Amino acid sequence: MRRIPLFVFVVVLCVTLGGWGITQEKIKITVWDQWTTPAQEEAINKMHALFQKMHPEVVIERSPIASPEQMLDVLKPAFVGGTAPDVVYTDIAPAFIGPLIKAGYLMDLTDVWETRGWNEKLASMSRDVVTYAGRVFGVGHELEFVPVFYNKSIFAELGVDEPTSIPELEAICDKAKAAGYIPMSFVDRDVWNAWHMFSQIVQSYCGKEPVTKAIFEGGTWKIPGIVEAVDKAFVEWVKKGYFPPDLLALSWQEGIMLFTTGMAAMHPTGTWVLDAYREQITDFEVGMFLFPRPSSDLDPVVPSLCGSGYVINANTKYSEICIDYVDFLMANEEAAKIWYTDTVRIPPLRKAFPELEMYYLLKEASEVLGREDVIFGYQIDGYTPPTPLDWLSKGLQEVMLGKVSPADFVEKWEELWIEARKEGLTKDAFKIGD
Amino acid sequence: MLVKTQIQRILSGWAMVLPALAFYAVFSLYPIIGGIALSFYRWDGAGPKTFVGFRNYLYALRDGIVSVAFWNNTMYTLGILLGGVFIGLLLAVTLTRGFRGRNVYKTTFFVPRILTQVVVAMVWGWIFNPFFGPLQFIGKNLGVPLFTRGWLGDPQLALPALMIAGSWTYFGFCMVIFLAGLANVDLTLFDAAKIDGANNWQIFFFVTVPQLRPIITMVVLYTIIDSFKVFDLVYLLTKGGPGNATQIVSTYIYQKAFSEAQVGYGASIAVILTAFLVVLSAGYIKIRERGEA
Repeated sequence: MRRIPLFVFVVVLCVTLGGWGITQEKIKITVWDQWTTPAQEEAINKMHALFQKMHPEVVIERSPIASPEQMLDVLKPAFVGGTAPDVVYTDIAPAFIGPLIKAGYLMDLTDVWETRGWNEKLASMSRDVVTYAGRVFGVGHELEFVPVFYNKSIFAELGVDEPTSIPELEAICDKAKAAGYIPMSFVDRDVWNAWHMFSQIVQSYCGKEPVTKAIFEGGTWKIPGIVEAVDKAFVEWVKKGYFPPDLLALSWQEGIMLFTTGMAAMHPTGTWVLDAYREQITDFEVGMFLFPRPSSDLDPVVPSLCGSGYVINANTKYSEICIDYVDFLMANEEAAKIWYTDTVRIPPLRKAFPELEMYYLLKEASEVLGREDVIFGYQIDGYTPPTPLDWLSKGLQEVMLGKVSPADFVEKWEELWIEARKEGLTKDAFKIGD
Repeated sequence: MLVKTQIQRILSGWAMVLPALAFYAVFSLYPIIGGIALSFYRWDGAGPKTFVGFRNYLYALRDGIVSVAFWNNTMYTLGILLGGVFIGLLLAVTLTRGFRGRNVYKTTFFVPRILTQVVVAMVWGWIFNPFFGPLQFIGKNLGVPLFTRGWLGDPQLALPALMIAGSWTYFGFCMVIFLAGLANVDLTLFDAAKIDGANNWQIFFFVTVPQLRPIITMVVLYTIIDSFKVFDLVYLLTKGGPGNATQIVSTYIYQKAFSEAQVGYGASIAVILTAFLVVLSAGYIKIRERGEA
């Protein structure tokens, strides 16, 4: 009888030691990302399975975090406290990762871009958005731009075509309104929708060049036409009823609902909305056009950006594995296909997959990104330091409420950019280790 | 021998107090002192800190949005005192009367208190929705234009909307506290008042309220502190907007410390809020004590 417990003990000991021996060879990397919907989770798990086939020694411990704001809340304490993960998928605007780069918490991947061939394989936008003071600190993902989506059935009913100038767009809005539709489902309770409308209207009226100068070359924001642009979208169009009444009371999700339920004719927003369209729209077809310029002679300038990106902890013990991981997610063809089909997102890999079955609007969007005749401008918020970004949120709301004039808005916007530039927080004045 | 016993008593006393004291020091005292210390620095939350003395405080005194936030917070607190505490008191008094189904009412009124603020925000976000919400539906059918407006996006109505949502989660809690207090009041006073010909309102104001005075003091104090610390409901429903129409101190601290990476400045506003609440609470208690003397 005494032998039985002894036997059990020996078996347990062997299993434990054996298990320990196996796990000791494994390398665990920790990842925090923003893939939280069931479809996204499934997609990322699929990609992890493929990666682990290539790297059986790697275990990935993943923690999804619901929103960029929550990520911002937890990232800095984690890095300061030494508990940050090895790899993070986060918003890569200066307001988010600027302080982490300055403090030296993120790995400089400038050479990695060269050695891994990312410069050739990946879209330049993917590098530019994470370039600070000439160094590259990550890989931008989710190539996005901000067009205007429209309900093809409503356009057919109104007898209108895609507009090629602002007056044409306004004529469509007038017709849609007269027919009882909300012309454009632009809402702003969440404060960030106005950032994109700002990017659209400013580059429509002012073009790309002066905005490039203001962001990257120490230029001014007092650009000819900027006050008129702000006045047009945030005062005139609000007054004319081109947007829903009470637009500041409606959230982003409610804005989507106005469009997907057929109440609104157009939806000026970014391509990140496509997975919502795929799920919610079944009874009409959606088209997209690029936000027009005041005159049809001028080529549209499309605000574009990488929605978020992968960055690596500078203090990770497994830098090569982490680089392999990011390389797989961003530069592997199989992974790219999953991004397209399962998450309805455009990865930075330059290769096109014409044979791939994907949501028709995503296909259209990826074709637009590949067009050489399109001028890609900026989603200005993605390059804006924290304090001016707050003014972009609150200030534009104040303009819509009639409490601040467009001229005063631009004045303060310029003033805050100058202050941020002095502090080395803008792209053109960014200093590392400051 | 006597000295030895005294030392033993002191040591055993300290031994009993020490775990709680250590816990308090680590989880309360250290963060408080750390927060105060942080308010004298300029810090983006990740890089090195720079000592700036009282500059953050001087800046806060000149920052117009800080005063807007304090004003909004004061209004919100008054709204909660009226919609939460006063209604809670009325309900408690009503429920002390014997009628069938009292427990159902008690439970129903208390339920909002146990909901998370995220759920509360979802519920009220839907109620106030100007397209799909029940409030606009009622407004349209009854011909009340006020109800058809988008409350959360209207600078005049957004703060009242938050007060309503906040009160809804709070009056049930106050009701329970007052019910407990009412269980101990002297019932003969009610009978005496009735014999003297007092009506229900007179009984409420001149008999019930004075007897509940210590509990009212406690609830009001708790409400003031709680309302000045509110964050989640406001952040979830309006993010302090439209513009700064519902900006309150906590959302502004969050905005500065986290969104704008001005942790030291955010800490200085937090210290000002704490000092303000300490002074307010002490003043209120003093006034109440004077009234009772």
